Amino acid sequence: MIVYLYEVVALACIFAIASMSLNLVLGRAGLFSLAHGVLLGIGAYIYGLLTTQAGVSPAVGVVAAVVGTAVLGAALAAVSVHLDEEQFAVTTLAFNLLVVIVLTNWASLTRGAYGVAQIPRLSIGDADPQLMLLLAALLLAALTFVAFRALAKSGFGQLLVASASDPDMVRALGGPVWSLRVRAFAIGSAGAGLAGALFAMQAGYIAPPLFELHLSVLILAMVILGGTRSVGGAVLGAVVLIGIPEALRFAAFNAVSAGPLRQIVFGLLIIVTIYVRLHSKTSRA
Amino acid sequence: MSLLLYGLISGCVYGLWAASFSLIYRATRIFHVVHAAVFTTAAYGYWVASPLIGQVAAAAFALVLSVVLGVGAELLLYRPLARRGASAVLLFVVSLGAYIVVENTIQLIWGAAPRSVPVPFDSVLQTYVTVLGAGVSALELAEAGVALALWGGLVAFLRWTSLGAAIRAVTIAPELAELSGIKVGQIRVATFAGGSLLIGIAGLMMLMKTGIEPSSGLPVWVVAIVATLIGRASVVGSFVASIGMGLTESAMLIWFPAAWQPAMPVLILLGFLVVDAARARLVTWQGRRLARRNVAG
Repeated sequence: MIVYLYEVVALACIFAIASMSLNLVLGRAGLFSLAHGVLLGIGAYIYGLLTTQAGVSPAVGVVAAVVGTAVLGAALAAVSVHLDEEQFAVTTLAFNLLVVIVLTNWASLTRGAYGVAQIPRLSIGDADPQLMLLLAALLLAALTFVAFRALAKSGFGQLLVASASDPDMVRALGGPVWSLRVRAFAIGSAGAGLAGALFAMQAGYIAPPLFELHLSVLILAMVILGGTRSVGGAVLGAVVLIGIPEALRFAAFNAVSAGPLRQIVFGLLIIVTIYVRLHSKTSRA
Repeated sequence: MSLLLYGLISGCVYGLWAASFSLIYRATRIFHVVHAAVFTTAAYGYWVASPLIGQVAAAAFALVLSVVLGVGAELLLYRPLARRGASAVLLFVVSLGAYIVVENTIQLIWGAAPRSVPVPFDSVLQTYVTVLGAGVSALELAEAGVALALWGGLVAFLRWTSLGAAIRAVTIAPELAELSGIKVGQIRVATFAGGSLLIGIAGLMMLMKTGIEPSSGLPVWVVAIVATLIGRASVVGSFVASIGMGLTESAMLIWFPAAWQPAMPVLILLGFLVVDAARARLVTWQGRRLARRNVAG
């Protein structure tokens, strides 16, 4: 039971890191990304493949996952941040589908549908590995929180908000809108990569179906639920959306219907949250 | 040669997907993801109803269901939210949420396994014919023909009927159309009804040809939206883009295994965007150079 609790809390921390990083991309930079789940997946694969196939140590694997995901995210952003926001959303959705296809079919690199198994965890001496992971996830989530809060308050964060609400104004004042957005997306991707590496450790086994569109939608739901302007809200969204399904697991649902039911709840949650937010905004005005 | 034929056939089917989506997108500028759910709902409607009430009645039922779902999305989701000032991207996210709800409801009730139905008129449609030296099933040819005919009908409808003219007016200048007495709200509903009807037919076609599963709709939607974006949202342009995508997909089969096929529309979209981004950068750069020269001169 206590091990199970460790797992759930670690998972909540991992998704808090993911949703805080999407919060920067969506809430500050105004970029509606539907690729965050698959960026997490890329981080998980970089960590998983390097540690199991290339014999890299877990610590180096984590760093490689963060850097590698940031680079790929920057490349995606470089060709897409100039688009309308809904075109950007579609492009990131398409990127999500593409990466899953590549992970499934490029079997010589990714082991295809078999997935990557026996992924090692960070370990120090002979401490309980699950407890170690929990502590690492808590520590990293706390660090991410502090870092993203500082980033949001910094000049960079303020410029991001300005370039999201009035890009032409920022351009006219000489602000580099394109590069601001690409940098924000790269930082967000780094966060997703970190969450991905931890996710791979926690799961021990990763396969392409884990990183299909529903994961991006889940992280998006966390950010929307928590309020796009608040880093703490993103954490809260992650805790609630990881907590609810775990609670549902104890209610009498069988395993087959639990998956779709969860998705239905997330879908409805997105719709209702947006509806309520818009309502409160107009009634105040 | 056979690859060319297959490319044209799938291009025509993609054209129907794209035309149905761009009809709605042009008039409303909504990234209507529920469209993907309309596609699967029509197919499941037919699959459930045809053993009970026969093929013809089931097809009618499925198409009514498509129209109800498409129009329902406009009336119950987009319109109230747009009235509250929702931006385009929020409508897109809400639409995605609604799509997820429908897809998973279907999966919850009927499971994730692929479903198929017996081919109607099987004595004719299950024969193989040779066209351009390539063997192809009559069903595939018929589906391409139906898609082409529906698209032609849509183009003619937009061109020559008064409702078609009103749709075009709303597409080009919604405010002006409103001022000249066109009921914009009704026209939007009409595009949702028409687009949903067309994608419902496409759903039945896929059910009969390859079968369908709850997640079949999203890849269809991606093809439709890529063709619409590349075709500059015009009904003709997106059809041409679809044919191009069908041919590209066939050409890809020469170098890649068939499992890579779903990557095609995404690769085309990303390629298109890279070129587009480079062009935008070039224009900015040229503009700056021009500005510098003018300041200097």
